[in-house]
Amino acid sequence: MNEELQTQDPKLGTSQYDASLFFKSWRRLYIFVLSELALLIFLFYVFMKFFS
Amino acid sequence: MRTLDWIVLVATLLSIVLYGIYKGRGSRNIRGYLLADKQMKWYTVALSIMATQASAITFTSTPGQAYVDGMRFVQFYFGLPLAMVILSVTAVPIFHRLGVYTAYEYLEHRFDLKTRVLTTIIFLISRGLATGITIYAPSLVLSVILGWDIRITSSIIGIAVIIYTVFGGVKAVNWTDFQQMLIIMFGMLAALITTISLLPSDVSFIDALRVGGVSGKLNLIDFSFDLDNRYNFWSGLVGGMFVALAYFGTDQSQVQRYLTGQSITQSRLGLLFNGLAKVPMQFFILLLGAMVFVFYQFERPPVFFNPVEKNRIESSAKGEEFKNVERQYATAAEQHSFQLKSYLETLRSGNENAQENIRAELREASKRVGEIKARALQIVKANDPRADTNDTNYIFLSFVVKYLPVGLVGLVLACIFAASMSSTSGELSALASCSIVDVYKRLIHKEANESHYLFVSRIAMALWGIYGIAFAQYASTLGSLVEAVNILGSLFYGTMLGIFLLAFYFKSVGGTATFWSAFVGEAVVLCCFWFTKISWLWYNVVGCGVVIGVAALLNILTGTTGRGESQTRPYN
Repeated sequence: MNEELQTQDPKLGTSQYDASLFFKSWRRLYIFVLSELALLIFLFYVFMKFFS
Repeated sequence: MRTLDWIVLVATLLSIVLYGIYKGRGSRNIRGYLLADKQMKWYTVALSIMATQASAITFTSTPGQAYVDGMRFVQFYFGLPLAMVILSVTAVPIFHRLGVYTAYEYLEHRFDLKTRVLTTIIFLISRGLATGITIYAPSLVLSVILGWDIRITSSIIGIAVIIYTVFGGVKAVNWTDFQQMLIIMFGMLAALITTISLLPSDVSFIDALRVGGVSGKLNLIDFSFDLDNRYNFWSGLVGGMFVALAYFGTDQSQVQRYLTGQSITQSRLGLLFNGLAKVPMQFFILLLGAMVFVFYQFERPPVFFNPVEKNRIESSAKGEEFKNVERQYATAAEQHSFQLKSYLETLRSGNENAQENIRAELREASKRVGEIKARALQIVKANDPRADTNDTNYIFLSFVVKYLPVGLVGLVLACIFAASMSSTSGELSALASCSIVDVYKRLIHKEANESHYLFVSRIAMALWGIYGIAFAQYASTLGSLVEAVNILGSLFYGTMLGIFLLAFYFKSVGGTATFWSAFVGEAVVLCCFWFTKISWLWYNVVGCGVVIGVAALLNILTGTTGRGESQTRPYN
């Protein structure tokens, strides 16, 4: 729905070409953000176990 | 404070004000003044969001929190990236598409005027009180540590912010937030590196982490599920997500930051960058606190970090008793330090049996140190029952002033001032926006020209700033009410979030059902607060759930529809 919203209104300054500046689609960027969180939790756990 | 520290501090604060005035020039209407003409790039939006969220207390008390309670506080931020993704999908495109000035303006379009007014009132009360605290809390800590009058510290923060926000509006706020966040990141990184370098020469960074680990300060993850436990994985992930959704999705001080984005893309990237950077940033701030703890394991720590309370007890009738306990504390801390060095030796030698024995001894030694500290605090409390025995806020700054090299002290203090200014400026601009757009322009003076609205926006900005300074001047006389005000803010977020989630996802629910369900939701949250021990992180989940459930039920019972209702309403 939201991807449609972007392209429906040209006044918003968005187009299909700037869905994301760094990834091919927003979905990939969202997955990247959540993957980083999962990785950090894993690393924190390893860090905690290693030093305690 | 030496001359170089003064130069760094004054130069940094002056550069912030001048930069704000320079970047904020040229606003000709309220779109420019309150939305920065929607010209902000994602990196400005991102750092502005982060700077507004990170108040001075984040940088003064978070390291102290790690010192006292370990690094488990980081779990509180686990829900934030999830919230950033959800808001990027829902709130950002809706707010941009409608071209609203405030989040509450959207609620009139979706529901009705009374829902908009209700949420505006909740925001103005809760954020108005919080703004006073945002200035007061760091002013108090800085005044205690530096020995300055609290009126001086609160006035420096307040007046500096008023100058550039009144002049430049949101454009000045966003650009100074950007600059302040860079200063803060640089200052905190320099403080972390310097703290590690101050450790004894025979204690490496890895040794320091081992000391932190064996002392229980690297307790980053706790998977146990306990509603009464404030910081564990589940409360952080679920409760933290609801807190972040409410704060970033319904609080105008954050919504305004991403409404200034040039496009949906720029606003989304700003939020998502916050989702990426927030958890690592908090990790490093907490690590700084853990390293300060390790530093004090080899350098005798004071039994009590609040210098004002310490001077008071030392000059009282119980002064001698306190000094006796202080001496016992010094001896116990020295023994503990000796055992820690032995522990590191056994780790290097690889003798596992000896390691186990020393671990047990260490646990005993730290228990003894903790007991002596508790006795010292009991004496402080016995001398004056109103004395503040929580010294968490003072640990980091007293370390900074005593041990960091000249120049860096000024920089860290500049970071604290900058953090306070960035939060305050964001709050002032949000309060002014709501006062003008949701109250003055909507209810009092509907037809006026742009220059009139621009003028009253500047007046509103200045008045909220003066109110913030005045609150900070007299907050010390409010005593425990200050703490109550802080809790008060967290009591409303669940209800606000429930209203916004109804607006986003429950298209059949109308304004009247939402309006009354908000009162029921708030009543349930207040019952949780008064009659249960549930951690406040869960209030947001409860409040939000009740608002949605009751609104859905009322909607079924009354048979109204949201879309029909909203289409007949005038939209400002």
